[in-house]
Amino acid sequence: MTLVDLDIEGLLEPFFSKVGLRDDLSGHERRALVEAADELVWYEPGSDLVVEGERPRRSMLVARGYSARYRDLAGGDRQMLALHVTGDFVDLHSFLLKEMDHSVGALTRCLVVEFPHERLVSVTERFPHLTRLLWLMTLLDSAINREWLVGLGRKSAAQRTAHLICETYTRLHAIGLARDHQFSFPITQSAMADAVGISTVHINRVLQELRQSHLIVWDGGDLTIRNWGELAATADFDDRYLHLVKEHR
Amino acid sequence: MPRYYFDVRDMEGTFVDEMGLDLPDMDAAIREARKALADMVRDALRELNHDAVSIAIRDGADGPVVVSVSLTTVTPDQLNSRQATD
Repeated sequence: MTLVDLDIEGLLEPFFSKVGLRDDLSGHERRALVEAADELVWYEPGSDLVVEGERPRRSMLVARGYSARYRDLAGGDRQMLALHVTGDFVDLHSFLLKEMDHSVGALTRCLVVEFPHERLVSVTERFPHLTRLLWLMTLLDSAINREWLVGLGRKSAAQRTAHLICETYTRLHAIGLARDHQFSFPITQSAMADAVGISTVHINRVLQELRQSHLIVWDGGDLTIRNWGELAATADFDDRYLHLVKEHR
Repeated sequence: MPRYYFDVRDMEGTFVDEMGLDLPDMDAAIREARKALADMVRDALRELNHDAVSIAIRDGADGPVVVSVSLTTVTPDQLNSRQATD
């Protein structure tokens, strides 16, 4: 095992934890994924990992930092389509869809592990169970999309904001990157507004309300959930859609 | 770019904007306020007694520009008694 392999395996731990919550990964499968990785690239906040219309030749896993899928509209508005945390593949689906129908941007400084598509093809030909798990990852993304859709359609801005906070904490806590209802969340209010589908004026108001109700403490860095029960109830948050259950897949 | 502050008033009280937003001019600020009102009104009006939302746009210079939305429910009785007094 080379030094670079060790580095990559360490960087992929959050991803292995994410998968390991839902099914067991064999040593061979871990090794196969580590060997499929190629470059490591840092992205500055505000830069794009991949752009709408692009036809990438590799899929990216974000080993550090927050990133987001988004679409920009003609009038200048941005709708965030998904928030990605450490350990998430952000464009696994481009491996099959080929052309990006949205962009992926770094919200904070991000460390990306690149997986050339031809190596992923090889993985799918030799490791069917691992392939199903990669497929599962895209399905988990879809499940989160569905939950966001329900919120955008039928919940209030305050409920959606509360939900996003509960969801992000749960996703990080599940892979051991957050605990005691606190997590590092250095994203801008503008990004929060894009995620929840409202204006910055409105998110400002919503966050102030959440703070004044003593539900959260957040100054742009660490976010502390002071009253999980009430925040989750406000959000109508139920983690079932995150499928945090281990089953043979 | 000048900074504009958007104070929101609704049935729950007044929220004073301490952060503000940099925008090219008051017209842009009014457009921003209307967008924000569209979102806020959508949620506020679902609450039974929340009938009005307004945003006062401060720019530190002249008096605030107020953009407001209100909902009125008029029942047939009220309509009839109004017509009687016209």
